[in-house]
This record gives sequence, C-alpha cells and structure tokens, in this order.
Amino acid sequence: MGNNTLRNYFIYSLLLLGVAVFPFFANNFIIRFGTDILMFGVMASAWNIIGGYTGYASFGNVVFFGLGAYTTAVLMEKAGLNFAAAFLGAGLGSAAFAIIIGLPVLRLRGHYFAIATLGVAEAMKALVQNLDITEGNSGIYLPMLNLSVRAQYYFFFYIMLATLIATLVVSYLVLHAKLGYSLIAIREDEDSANSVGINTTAAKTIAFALSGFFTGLAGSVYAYQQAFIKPDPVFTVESTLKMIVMAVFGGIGTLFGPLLGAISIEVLSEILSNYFLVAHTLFFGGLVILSIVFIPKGIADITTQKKFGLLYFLQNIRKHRI
Amino acid sequence: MNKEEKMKGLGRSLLVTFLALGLVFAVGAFANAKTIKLGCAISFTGKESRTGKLYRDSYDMAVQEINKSGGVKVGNETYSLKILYYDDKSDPTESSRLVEKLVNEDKVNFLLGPYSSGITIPDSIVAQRYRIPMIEGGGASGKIFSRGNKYIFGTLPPAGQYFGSTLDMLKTFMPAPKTIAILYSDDKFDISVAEGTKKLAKKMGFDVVLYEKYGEGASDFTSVLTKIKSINASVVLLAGHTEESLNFTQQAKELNVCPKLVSMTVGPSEADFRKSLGRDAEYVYGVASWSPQMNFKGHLFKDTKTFVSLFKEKYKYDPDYHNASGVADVAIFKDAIERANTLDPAKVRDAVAATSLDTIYGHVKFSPNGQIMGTSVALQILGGQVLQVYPSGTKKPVYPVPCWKDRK
Amino acid sequence: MVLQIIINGLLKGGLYALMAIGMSLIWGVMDIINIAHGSFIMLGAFTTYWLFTLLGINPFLSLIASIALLFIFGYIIQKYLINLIIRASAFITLVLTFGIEIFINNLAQVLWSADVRMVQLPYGAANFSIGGFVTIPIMRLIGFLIVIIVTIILFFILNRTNLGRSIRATSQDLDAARLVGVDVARTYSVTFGLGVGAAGAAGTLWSILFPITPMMGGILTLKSFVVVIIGGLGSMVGPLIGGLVLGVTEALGTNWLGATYENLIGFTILVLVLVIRPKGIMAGAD
Repeated sequence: MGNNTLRNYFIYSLLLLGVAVFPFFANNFIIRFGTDILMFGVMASAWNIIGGYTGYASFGNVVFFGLGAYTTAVLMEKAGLNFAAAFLGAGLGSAAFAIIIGLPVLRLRGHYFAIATLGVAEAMKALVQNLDITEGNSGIYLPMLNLSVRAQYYFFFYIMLATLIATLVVSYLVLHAKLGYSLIAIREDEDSANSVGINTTAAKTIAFALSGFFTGLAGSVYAYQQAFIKPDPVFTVESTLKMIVMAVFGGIGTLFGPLLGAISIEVLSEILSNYFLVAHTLFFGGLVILSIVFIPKGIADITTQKKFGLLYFLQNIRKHRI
Repeated sequence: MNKEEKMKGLGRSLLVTFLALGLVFAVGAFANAKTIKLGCAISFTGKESRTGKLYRDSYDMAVQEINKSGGVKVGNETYSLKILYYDDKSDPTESSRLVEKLVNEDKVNFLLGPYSSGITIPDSIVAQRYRIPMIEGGGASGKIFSRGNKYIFGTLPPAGQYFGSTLDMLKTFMPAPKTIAILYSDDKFDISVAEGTKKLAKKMGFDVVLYEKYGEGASDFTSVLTKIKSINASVVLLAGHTEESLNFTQQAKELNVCPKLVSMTVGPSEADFRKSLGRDAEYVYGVASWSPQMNFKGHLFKDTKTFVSLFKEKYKYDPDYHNASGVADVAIFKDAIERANTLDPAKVRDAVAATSLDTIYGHVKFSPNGQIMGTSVALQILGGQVLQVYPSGTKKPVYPVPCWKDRK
Repeated sequence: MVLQIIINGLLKGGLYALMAIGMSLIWGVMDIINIAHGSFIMLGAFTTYWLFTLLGINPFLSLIASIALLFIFGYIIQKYLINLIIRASAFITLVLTFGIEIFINNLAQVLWSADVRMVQLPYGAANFSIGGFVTIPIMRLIGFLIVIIVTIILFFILNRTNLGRSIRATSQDLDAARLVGVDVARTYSVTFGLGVGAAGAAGTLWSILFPITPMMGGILTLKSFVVVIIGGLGSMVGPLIGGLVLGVTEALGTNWLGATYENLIGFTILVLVLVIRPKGIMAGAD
C-alpha cells in the first residue's frame, strides 16, 4: 500500500470517527438534521448504483423509498411486527419490487426508461392513496419508539449511519467486482457488452435491486422516525429529483460523490431557508441551474483537477454547447 | 503563503468567529429575558399557504393585543409574547422538522399549530415527544386526537359534526329533501366529516344516494357531477378544500347540474371564494364553527363585533372561522399560563386541558381527548354576503336553490 | 349517462392534447424532456389572468399574447441556457429543466403568492344541450377547436415552410444539418420557443376552465408525458390521439372506480404503453 492510500484511509477513518461521535455534542435538532443528510446520502448513493454506474437514469427511485416507508408502517402498525423485522422487510420488499418491475422496465433505454420509472412511482403513489390497508391519502400512524427523547435521536442517527456505510461498502464492492465492470460496460456501450457475452439483464437487475434495497431501508427509518406518513411526501417526484441533483452535484459514478452532493445541498438549503424565509426555493432552483451548467461532473470532479480556476467552468460549457 | 502562515490565519479566523458567535448568543440571551416564545411552523408557501396566512394574521393580531394591554402575568413578572415563525412550505415532513428546530434550537416555550390536519399530526407528534403543549386551530380530523396525545389541543370542532346543523335545517324545509349525495376529499379531515355525516344522515332518515371520495386537489368533477345529475340527488354535501369547492361550483354550472341545496365545508365562508365565483357563488351553503354574525364576550377583545371590525381595519378582509379560531388559540395560552402561574410546560398543559374560557370565538372547553367541544352553524351566500341562516340566522335560508338558467 | 361521460372525456382529452403538443415537439426534435413544461403552461395561464384582471382583455384575445410571450421566453431560455449544455448527456438536460422548473414555479409564487385565482367570465360556464341527453360546455368545445387549429398550424409550419425543413433536418441529424448550412442554434431556439408557445396556449385555455395557482404545473407535466407516450413521438397527430385516449379512459375509469383513481389510471396506462409498445400508437407515422 502506497503512502497515499494509507493517508486516505487515515483521513476517512478520522472523518468516520468524527461523524460517529458528533451526536454527543449536538442538540436534537442538529442530530435530526444530520440524520436527514445521511438519509439523502443513502438515497443519492443508492441511485448512483443504477443511475451513475449503470447509466440507467431512474426517475422513479422514490418509489422504493415510499415502499420502504409504507411496508414498515403496515408491518408495524397492522401486523404488530417490531422495527427490526419491518426494517428488513422494507429493504427486501423494495428489492423484490425492483426485480419485478425491472423485468419489463429495464428493457427500455434512455428517456423511455426514465419516464417508465417515473410512471411506476406515480402509479404506486396513486395506488397507495386508494388502498384501505395503507389508510389511503389520509396517512398512517406508526407506533412510537419507546425510548427517552435523546435516545430516540441517537437511535435513528446511528441506524441511518449504518445504512449509509452499508450502501457505500456494497457500492465499493460492486464497483471492484466483475459486476461493476459489467455495469460500466453497460453504461458505455450496452450492445457491445451484450455481444461480448455479458449478461446485461442480470447485471442491470441486480443493480436496480440493490438501488431499491438501500432506498427502501432509508424509507423505513424515515417512517419510524416520523411516526406518521402520508403518500404524497414519501412518493413525491421531488425526492427523486433531489437524489439526482445531489448525485450530479457531487459527482455521478464516483463512490463518495453522491454523499458529498447530499451534504452540500442539504447544508446550502438550510442556510438559504434561514436567510430567505420565502424565496429560498428560488435560490435552490437557481443553484441547480448554475451547477448543472458550470459543473456538470460534480464537485468530486473538481477535487481531481490539478489546476482549478475560472477556466474549469468555461471548459465545461465549451465542451457541451451546441 | 506557506503552510505555517496558512494555519495561523485559519486559527485567527476561527477565534474571531467564535468570539462573534459568543457575542451574538449573549445578546440573544439578554433580549429574551422577559419574553414567552411561541413557536409556529406554518405554511407561508405551498398549497396551504392561503389559509395558513389567515392563521398567521390572527396569531399576530392576538399577540399584539396582549402585549399592548400589559402582557402575560406569571408570578410577579410580566412577560411579553413573541411568535417565532418558520415556513413549512405546506409539507408535513418539513413542518415536523421545523417544530423540532423550534424546540431544540430556538427553545420556544409553547407551540401554535399549523394549518391542515395532515400537517398537524406530525407536528403534534413532536410536541408529544418533547412534552410541550401545542394549541392548533387548523386541524379538525378526529385522527389528530385518536392516539391519546396529551399535548395537542384543537379549537376546531369534531369533523363528524360539521354538517349536523345543516341536516337539522333540512328537516325544517317543507317538503324536506330525501336524497343526499356526499362527496369528500381523501384527506383525514374530510373523511372524518363524510363518515360522521353519513351516520348522522342515516339516523335522521335521509337516503344517502351517493357517497363518493375524490383525490385531494382534484380539478375535474365532471364525472361525479354527471352521476349526480342522473340520479337526481336533492342535496349535495361537499367536504373538501377551497380550490375543489371552486371547481365543483363552476363545473356544476357548465354541466347544468342544480341540486336543491349544495353545502360545502370549506369555501363559502372565505372572501376569496365569493370573489372568484362572483354571481355564481350565490345561494351556495356553507358550514362553520363560527360566523362573524355571532356575538360573544371576548378574552382579549371586548366582544366578537369589536374583534371583527378591528380585524377588518387592520387586514382589510373579513375574518372567518379560521381567523377566530386562531385568535382563540393565543387567548387560551394566555389564560392557561396565568392560571398555572408558571412557564412549566407540563403544568401549563394541565391548565389548558382545564380551560373554560369565553372568547370572541365562543366558549372554549376541551373534551378529554383535546378537541374543543363545539357545534357548527349553517351559512348561505345571499346577496354576495355570507350569512348565518341556521340556527336562528339573520336571514331565512333560500330553498330550493334556483337552477342556473332560472337565475336573474 | 355514458355518452355524457365519453363526451366529457373527449373534451378534456382535447385540452390534454394541447398541453402535450409542445412537449412532443421539443422531445421529438431535440430529444429534450422538458420537466419545466408545466411551468410554462402555468405562465400562459397567468398571462391570461393578469391581462384579463388588469386590462380587461378577453381571454381568447390574450391567447395570442400568451403564445407570443412564451415563444420569446422559450427562445431565450433555449438560446442562453439549454444550448449551453445540449451536447452533454440527455440526462444533464433533464436536471437543467428541473432546475428551471423549480425556479419558475417559485418565482411565480414569490411574485404572485400561492393564492388560487380564477378568470371569471360571465359566459364561462355556458353550455348547450343536445336533445336533453347530453350537455356540452361551450368553453371546453372551443378549447377542443383551438387544439385542432394549433395542431394544423404546427403541422403546416413543420411541413410546408423552410423553417420546418430546418427543424426536421436538425432533428434527424444535427451535424449533417449544420454541414448543409442550417443555423442549428437558432433552429433549436425557435423549436423550443414553438413548444413553449404551445404550452402557453394550453395555459390560457386552462385558466378559462379551472382555477390556477403557481404550483399547478407539476401534475400537468406528468400528464403530458402520459399523452406523449401514448400517442408516440414524432408526429403532430400523436398528442391528439394520446390526449383523447387519456381523457376518455380517465372519464370512464373514474366513473367506474371512483374519482380518486384518476391519476392511477393515467400512470398505469403510461407504464403499460411503455412496456408493450414504447413507440406509442402513432409510431412511424408522419
């Protein structure tokens, strides 16, 4: 192991340690904020698996989040299961759904895949709004966690952190395994990949299932923490778009890019909300526009640049303009 | 700059930042010496923002009035009231997050509710978690009060009773209508209204010929209006939101559907509704837990009439039951805090639960589950104005309502 | 009653078609999925509202204003924003239009507040009935006619003018078109402008029939997707067919299942069409 890699591991471990002990020094709200950032980190990283590595930009990933949330709610509230069982059930259920829906939908490419996944998410939202077991559009309660207030916040933070670490570890393993090469091959040129004998269907489906699994877990923790969920917030297309923007902003197809994106965008949003009571979403929109035009490869790309200056931004435009 | 200089520079700027922050906190602490902080995450933007504003205006006016007339007395101290607002963007997740912020960061003493049952529920869960009482005037669904949450109190009467007085009124007409169509939006509040109304209607001997749910925010009622026309329902009761009420009325006219009476939970009492529909709003019935024509002795204001004229002067629009409910929320806190004679949340909560107060909104008393005990009245838009028509209204209700083509 | 339901569906379908034409044009020619599509519809609606409320201009006259204004707006956005990143992956463009959507929606909300507005026409709910069996709201019928007119006009532009030729050339092969001298940047800008202008027209029509708010665009964009997919890209008739199919299916479906199923119907159709016949009903036509 070279000096550089050793140094990187050291830095990462330090960061991890910092994140792990941070709740002890913060008030509940900050912990909650941290949990939300971790949640988006999970979602963006999970999206990255199918969208970034495989090149299949899903516009409906929120469906896994919502499914995870509702599976947890129904299992705990209606079937009386405990959180551990519901949590696992949520992840597996979402993964199973990904496999089933992936059968028809992964046969589509590009725009059509994006729209199909969007349609699936919206259809699922509409379905949940109409079912009795989910209590329709009026929302469903979950049992409350029986711990002290402070302990509750710790609980959710660490579970979300564990989920994030799991997502990143699995992403890393996938990336360095044969599956990872298959995915990248699919992204670069699916037809050639097929012709050299890669089982693209299997690879895509696994990627989609992994993406669904972790997103479902995030939804599960969210539902338990909220203690009350409604269809609209957990199936909203805005969430998918947020995941995508974070992945793009941080750097698609990189391991830590989406997490970086999640942190920066959430922090920026919060700062903006504090200063501009009403106009903050306006600035968010502006931010999205500016970043996609000037840094389409994301922040992660910036960190790899030897020389960094104004030229970098203009370069991107020159490369992509009509 | 070499590394050493860079580190020094960093250290220096960090020191300055910490000093500055420390200063800010110190000043902040001083400024809050004798203030009771009420936290409120409510819709400034998003689909509930129009009604959210009604509550903000009312909360602000009530607080202003309290501070003007001597504040809140606890022990030997006099406190002024201050509301800390955050925009929840009409999103339940955001709202509950902001309530957590209000409690943890802004350290508010008590909480005021948001608008809409769907947002009130997550907020109330946070209130429960931290054991800080929240009084809300914008959520009437029974679901809010169904989990034994001791820290949520609501000043809108139970949803299921909303059409109670309307049904009573129907019985007074000669001949009394027999068939009722109930339409309701699929959110908690309206489902509660529909279920309660259906039970009540059946008990009173009416025939519920249509019982149909539609999606919140729906813009197209042509299908269900066609159905109503074909089964000839005499009475249509609509439990929904302003936008839906607007759409429904407009499309009823388009398709020439005219039941003998149409009543809506939300819309008619709001000035916006009448303005948007113009003459087409005429004869539409509504329900409210309060109307400006009532006159009660007030806690903060002399009486309802005084309140109504002061409100109109300040905000330039007619107050409706949302506004009155909001004012009552603040009044209840003042009264409860003074009775408990402490700022301890648990004790204030107990005081709130024991409230028996006369306000411009009416007499306030809470059921054990935290919801106000109250009734509703029937209103009708006549001559461009919304008037109470039952019980003991200022004008007699017009029934049956003339069909579209027969109106002048 | 069923006949009335079907007529309701057809008339609504016409409105859907008008909404989707703009999206179909932009998507078909430039391979851009405009997530901000609904926002432009909203702007068209508000243009009509303000012209009506402030200046008393008849909404049908303001149709021209909203088309013109939105054409210019679309042209500028394409020229100074989208053209900058158009060579990047399609997906990047998607994110850009998403940013534009957030920006426009919230700017509208900041400027005009989230209040619900209505264009209140005295004859707005006028209707006539056929044999006492069915009632036809006149405004919706006029809307349907406007859809036909706009479709014909666009068809004419695309197939009988030089501009149309340039547009079709660039949609087939960007570089080849450039080689033969087509100003592709300008062509793209004009195309986007046309698409957005059509959205503006849809907005005007919508404002006459329904209340409007700054956030109304989201669901309309989604419905437009459904229409475009059903009808198929690349033809002017596609959106029309797609809109009618969606309108009638929704009307019949909600009558049968209940009004809360309105969105479920549309999106299930979307997914089914994509899976079975992604190119849509009118694939290959034109």
